[in-house]
Amino acid sequence: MNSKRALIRSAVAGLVAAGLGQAPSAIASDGAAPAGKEKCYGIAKAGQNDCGTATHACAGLAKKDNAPDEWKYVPKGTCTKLGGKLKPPGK
Amino acid sequence: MSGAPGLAAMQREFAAAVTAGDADAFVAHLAGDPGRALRRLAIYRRAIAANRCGALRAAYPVVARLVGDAFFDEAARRFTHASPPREADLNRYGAGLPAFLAGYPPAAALPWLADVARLEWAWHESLMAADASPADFAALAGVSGEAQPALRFALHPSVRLVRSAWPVLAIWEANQEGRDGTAARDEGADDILVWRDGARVRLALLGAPEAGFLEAIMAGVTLGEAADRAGQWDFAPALARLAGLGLIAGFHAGDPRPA
Amino acid sequence: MPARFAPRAPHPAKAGIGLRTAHFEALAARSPALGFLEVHSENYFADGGPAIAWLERFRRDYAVSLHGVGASLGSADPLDAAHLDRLARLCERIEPALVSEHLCWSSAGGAHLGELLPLPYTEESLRHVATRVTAIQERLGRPILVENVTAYVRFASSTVPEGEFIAELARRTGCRVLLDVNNAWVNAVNHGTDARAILRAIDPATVGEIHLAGFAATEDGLVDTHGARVAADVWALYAEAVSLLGPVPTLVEWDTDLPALEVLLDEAARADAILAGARPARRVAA
Repeated sequence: MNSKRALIRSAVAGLVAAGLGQAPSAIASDGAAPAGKEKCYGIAKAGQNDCGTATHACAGLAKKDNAPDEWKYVPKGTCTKLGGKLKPPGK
Repeated sequence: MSGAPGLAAMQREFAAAVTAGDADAFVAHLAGDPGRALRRLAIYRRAIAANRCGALRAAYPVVARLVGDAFFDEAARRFTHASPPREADLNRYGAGLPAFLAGYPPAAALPWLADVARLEWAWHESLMAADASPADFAALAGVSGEAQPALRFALHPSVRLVRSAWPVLAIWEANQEGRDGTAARDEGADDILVWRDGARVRLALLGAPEAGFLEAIMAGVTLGEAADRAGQWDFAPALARLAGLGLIAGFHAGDPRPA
Repeated sequence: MPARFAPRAPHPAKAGIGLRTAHFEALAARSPALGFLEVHSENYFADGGPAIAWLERFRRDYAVSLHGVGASLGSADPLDAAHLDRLARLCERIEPALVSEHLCWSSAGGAHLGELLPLPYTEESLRHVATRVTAIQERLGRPILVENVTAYVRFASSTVPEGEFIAELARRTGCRVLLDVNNAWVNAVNHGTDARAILRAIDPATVGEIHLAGFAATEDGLVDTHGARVAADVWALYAEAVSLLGPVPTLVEWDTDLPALEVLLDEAARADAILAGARPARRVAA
């Protein structure tokens, strides 16, 4: 119990010492990853999708409807590069 | 409910005609040449399918890349039939795709796919989450040692935690633009912190104890209870890291919910 | 109208363009002279994050028009209060010059179809849409503009032409009209009707905005893709509209196969030239 109190006390003292956290700007360009030794991953994806809202303007001009075919059930993406290697860790 | 029974009936039939393929009977409601009207209805059918699928594709680009276009489009088609959008803003559509993929038999060979989807949805939500200023911790100095275990923290609205039994962060990273899909790791149970830093969503790998601690804080438990769950593990650095990233938006001592 | 609104009116004789994510950086770098910027309201419904921050940034330099694609004015489903709340919140944040929606429906039985679907032009539709337009205007505390849509099919039950339907809607609700000249042209070609009929039917004083866009010609007719330059026939119809209506804020819409910003600016300049030749006579103040 006492050691728990001590852990809490030291954690809170750390926050007080840190003071005010950073205030990020929402239009910041891609800066360096924030502090921490851990690897942080920035993102390439553009973000908000203009086609995310309804309008036929965004619809494809497909000439034909797509009928279901067997090959639509076989993953054919980059997952082949992962092969069957991926495994959860043995616990 | 509606004061327009004729409209309500027409719209139900129209919707069925352009989503369930029952268009022949509906053409009777339309003016002009029936054959041409049928082909014109197909413009709507294709546009509706493309818009829905496009919204999912925008939220799940890594999943789409992992399975390929044909597989993704078919999975999306089945998902949208089972769970059509319930609101107009398609930017908010697709929360249920991870669960759908988890139970989609053709995806059974890719047991990690649903977790990759969960990570992408967390990313998507984080991008659109509310802005918030970091807390000013000066006021914490006034909280007595006795009251400290009752502290609760409110995290930045963009914070998400994704816990997986698979190395989903490695998979995700390997399938970003410009990468060839080869994962740097083929092992690992990834616990991933997702947050928005300014305009950018960021991801970081957490250790399992840190993830457990974050999970407790996100669930709104007191610092004391989070500490109990952490056992002998020192959570102070984890808390300091959250604060350093500007992800602690508020705290409260005593009240059931943080401000 | 609430006093907090201080709308920056779009320049009446200067065309605007649709603001799309891919052009954020280029537009911020160049800050070209434009009458206004228009966005799809729903793309800025997020609680926070970069999209709304960008829009607030552009709002400092431009009048902004919020063009909704999701209010579903003609749906028999109840109005979505949460959707309207988000639209109202966006209006408060952006103080748009114009707020518009489409004369269409998009959901049935609670399922959203993600499309602008056509209505039969009947008294039942008119009563229904008028009730909802009034409710939305009351919720937002301002009049909205209602746009004529592309309709690939027409209903056997329609009793009035589209133009008369819209004119009557404006009379009953006080809403204004967003005249999409491209949609009028696409519908006229697809159904063999007169594209000018809608110009004659609508009270010029109610027209608050004009849309221009490009279509694609397919074997099933013209498809309103917003993915090409404005067609020559549509420019001609636009010139007629402007000579009839006087200078009206005009938008160049482009959504599919988005080109470089320069192409949009070029199209907008072409609209400017037509607006510059218009007599400001026949319109009353907005």
